[in-house]
Parts: sequence; C-alpha cells; structure tokens
Amino acid sequence: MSIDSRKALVVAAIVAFGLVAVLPCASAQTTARIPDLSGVYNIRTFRGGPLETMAVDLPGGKIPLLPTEEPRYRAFAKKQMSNPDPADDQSPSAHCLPPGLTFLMTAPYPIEIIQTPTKVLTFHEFGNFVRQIFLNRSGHGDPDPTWLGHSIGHYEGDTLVVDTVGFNGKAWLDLTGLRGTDVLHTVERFRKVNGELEWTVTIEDKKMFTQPFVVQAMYRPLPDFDINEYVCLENNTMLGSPGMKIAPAR
Amino acid sequence: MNPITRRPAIAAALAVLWMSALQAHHGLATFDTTKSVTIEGSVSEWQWTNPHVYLYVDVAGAQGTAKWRIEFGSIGNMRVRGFSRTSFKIGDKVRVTGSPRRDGFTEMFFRQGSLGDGQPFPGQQPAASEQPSTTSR
Repeated sequence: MSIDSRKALVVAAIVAFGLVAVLPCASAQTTARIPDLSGVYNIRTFRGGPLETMAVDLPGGKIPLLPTEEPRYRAFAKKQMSNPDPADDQSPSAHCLPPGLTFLMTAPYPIEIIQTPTKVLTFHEFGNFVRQIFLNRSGHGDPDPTWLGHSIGHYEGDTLVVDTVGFNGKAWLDLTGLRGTDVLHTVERFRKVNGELEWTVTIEDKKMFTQPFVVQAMYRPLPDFDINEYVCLENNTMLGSPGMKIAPAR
Repeated sequence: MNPITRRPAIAAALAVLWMSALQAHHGLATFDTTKSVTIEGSVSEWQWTNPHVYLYVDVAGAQGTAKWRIEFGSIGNMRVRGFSRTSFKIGDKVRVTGSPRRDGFTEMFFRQGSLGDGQPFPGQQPAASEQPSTTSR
C-alpha cells in the first residue's frame, strides 16, 4: 500500500472513530429517557371522596378557604352529604356533566394512562372522560375555558409534571361541592413508586383559597384490564332516565 | 368480559370500588348504610346499564305486590364482582339484602343476595345466619 493510501486510511479511521464517539452522545442529548407511566390503575387511597381527606399537611386539617367562602362551603357540604333526596343533588357529575380535575382523578374507577410522543392521555372509566396533556409546549396560549382545563406537561426525570389553567369554574373539585373558579391553577406530578402510581397535585385559586394546598393519592396497577364503556345518560335514574329508550335496529 | 378481571389480585385491587360506588358520582345519603333490609321475590327486570346496574324485584305482600329496585355499582364494578348482562332472567326467585333508601321508597343499595336454590350471587360468600326483616309497601 502506498504512503498516501495509508494516510487516507488513517484519516478515514480517525473520522470514523470520531463519528462513533460523537453520535451516541448527540442522540442521548435529543432522546431523554421517558418514564413509563402507561397502564391502567385504580385508586388505593380513596377515603370516601372529600378532597380534605386526601390533602397533605393541611394547617388545622382543613382546606384553607377564604373567610368569605368557608361558611358557605361548610354549610353546603353538610347539606350535600346528608340530604337523602337524590333529586336535590346539584352535583354536575350526578347529571352526567364532567367532574372537576381532582374529583375525576380521585373517583373510585379505573384510569388508563396512554403516552405518545406529543401528548399523554388519561382515559377514565368514570364517564369515559379523557384528559389531554400536551407535551413540551412553550405555554398555554389563550385557551377557551373548559371543565377540565388546558393541560401542558413535561418530564423531569422519573416524573410527569402537568400544569393546568383555563378552567370554566363550573366543575366540582370533589363530591362535597368544593369549587374552583376561573383562576384555578393546578400542578400535578405523576410518578411510579414501588410499582404504584403516585399522584400529587398542588391546588391554587386566589378567589377561593388563602394559600395553595396539596392533595395526594396512590393507585394500584391493574395489569391486562380493559376500561369499560360508561354512558352516563343511558340510565340515570336521578334525572328520570332522560336517555332515550332506543331499541336495537333488529 | 375480560376473564383476567376475575383474578384475585385484580378483584382485591378493585374491592374498594364496591361501597364507594355509592359515593362515586352523587351524594352519600340516599341510602341508610347503618340499616339493613331483606326482601324475597321474583325478578321483573335486570338493567345492565351505567351509571348504575339495577335489579327490579316483585315482592308479594299482604297489601299486594310491591316493586323493589335494587341499585348496584357501574357495569365496570359489577364485572369485577362476576356479574354479567345475563346474570338474571325474568322470573328468577331471589332473596336480597341491602341498605334501604332513607325516604321510604322501596329501594335499596345491594349488599348480598342469593337465588331461589340458595346459590349466592356472584362474588360473595354464602350468608351466615340472617335475620329476615321483610318489608313491603
């Protein structure tokens, strides 16, 4: 082999070695490891439903409502939880409207988490509601106010962090009638802990609470479980069963 | 129905759903969970629907036949317990115990039941001694 040919070979080898050395690093920078949160789960720490039972480190054990809101809420919650007449139940979800974000996440029905490269979906057996969590967006923009808000998320290590604003103020945060307003802001953290799903949410609403507070729940995985169809209006006796009685075609 | 949901681990994981189905999407107080009522009669309808599954039972009494409605959880809850859309036929004889409605309507939230031949409803152990307290309106 001539000297020129050997030099060419050496240069080629150096270039090739350099590419091999550099390329994995380049791909590692652009493809961070995404935690696998996918699967179906069921809440393990359901304590009857009131958000206050699932809150963490509450001063005095009570949700920090504004003094102008506290008496109204306590009286309403007492009536809501003790009134025997279902026709008096004013909860939107009893009328098949969406429960609030925290109510939906802590309802005792299975939840499926579905991860794609651009969004995470939480698919709920309760009402078959679906939350869209848009990944890696720069901001919320100006979303239309909705029952479950506008959610954007990103991964931090083993955790999915979700920021939600844009609520319409109509949904109940739990079955007692705890409300959030149109300035409700939640930050959720989803991660796996010893095989279970841990969900932590910080709730902030200057028109309702004196300070942010934290709620947490744990969920057991349900391997090979299919979320069932749930059509709330098909036979809701609280509404006098408004679903049309539709006979099969044949 | 996914037969996997019959696995004990899945059933245990979902066991919390049973009574919490009462509280899931509407108020707690419709049924008095501190009381118990038991009826015997024949099935007139089995509604395999959401948000609740319902069993309608005709109960014969001194003042005629009373129509009882027994409320269960959602279809999802019920599948886990081993029920299906074909669990009952019109005319099946049943004995059912549950939490009665507070306002006196002939309605209860299901706790346990058995068929006419003594076979328990799916997902339950046979009842130990029972004190029947049949009411009819």
